[in-house]
Amino acid sequence: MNLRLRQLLAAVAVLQAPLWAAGVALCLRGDVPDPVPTHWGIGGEVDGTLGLGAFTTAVLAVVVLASLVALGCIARAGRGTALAGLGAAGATWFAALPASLYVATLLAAEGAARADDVRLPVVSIVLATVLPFVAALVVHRLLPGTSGPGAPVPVPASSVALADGERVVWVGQASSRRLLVAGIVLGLGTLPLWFAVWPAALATALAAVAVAWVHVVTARVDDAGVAVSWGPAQWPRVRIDLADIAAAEAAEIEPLRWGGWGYRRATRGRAAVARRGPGLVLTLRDGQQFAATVDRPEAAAELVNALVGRLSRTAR
Amino acid sequence: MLIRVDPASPLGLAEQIAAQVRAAVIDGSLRGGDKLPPARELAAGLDVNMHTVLRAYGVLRDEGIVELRRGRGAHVRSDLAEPDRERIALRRELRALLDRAARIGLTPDQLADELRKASS
Repeated sequence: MNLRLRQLLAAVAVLQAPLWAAGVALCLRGDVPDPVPTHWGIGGEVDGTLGLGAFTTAVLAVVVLASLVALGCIARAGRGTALAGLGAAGATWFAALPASLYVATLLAAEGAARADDVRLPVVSIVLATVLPFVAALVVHRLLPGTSGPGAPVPVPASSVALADGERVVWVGQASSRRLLVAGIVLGLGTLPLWFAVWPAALATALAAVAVAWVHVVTARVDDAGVAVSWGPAQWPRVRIDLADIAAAEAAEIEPLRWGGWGYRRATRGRAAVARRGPGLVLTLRDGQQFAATVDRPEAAAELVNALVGRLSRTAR
Repeated sequence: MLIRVDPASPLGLAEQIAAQVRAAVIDGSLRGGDKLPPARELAAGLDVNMHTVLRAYGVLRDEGIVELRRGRGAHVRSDLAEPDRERIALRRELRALLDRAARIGLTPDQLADELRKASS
């Protein structure tokens, strides 16, 4: 797919939000109560309403404005601007969320005589939350990163000499006792919640398990690339293809610069962070970075560079 | 840690893996209590059977270098002191000596005789 086609498809994805909002507003304006319900309490009862005109105007203003920002970002994508893709995705989410909530509200309110009679089905709440993420993801996937793939990248130097058929692997781990303790404390903290509000307790318990689980990060370097996994069972796993890697280095990883602990996505790239300290930082061919905290990463960086060198040697 | 194997080598894959862990223990890059890579990860990275890696770890356990515990993986024995490391290094040299003796047709017994002769 060339850039023009990708930009066109991304624009089509962005325009779904204003088109659906405007279309539903036009089609259903006579069939919904005025004022329309805009907020529901925990038990599903309506506890907030707004005049249909004001509601529609406010939603359309936000949706149109965010869509314009998204379209602007899409137009700038592929011209060496690193943030265009992320900006477009963010603006798409910002446009799609009010639009999908508006559509869900009006569809739920269709045919009701009074605002108080309207119930919002769980399915529409889930869809209205998920669809904006899907739209943002689609836009982000369609737009290219900083530099186009295929740009010539110099082969990095390495002190590790590899024969062509030799099989080699580097495995390293980093673990954080603090994260483990934090997860356990959070888990114990949910105990009283089970007797009061069990859905909240369940959600917090899952979060506690997740925090405790990511206290170990395992990184593996082999001729397929780099695989990073979490927890004692090495699951889930993220793979970086060797062909996508330009170079590697060992560096100090400061969690807050990468967006925190766990699996993070920041503007500079992705990171698997268990603790502060040494880690392996990969520079990818699309200009993004990938970082993983591991103990003694120097040998890993040397091996990645040697493997990248061997790949370009054998591909020639 | 870095492990490399050469499928064309006359040494078995498990022996190659064990030799590199042993070397890392001798030169001090692996210390007492250090965790060895999970067998599954090593096997997947080297494209060998997991049982090959487990056999290598088993050899190292029999030599008293690592301890294997269910659910906790393989660790270098935490009570491994400097004399033990020396002894592991010595055993490695003895094995090399045995190989060399075998190449010129000396049996281990004949090698032991040579050793006695040299020390008297």
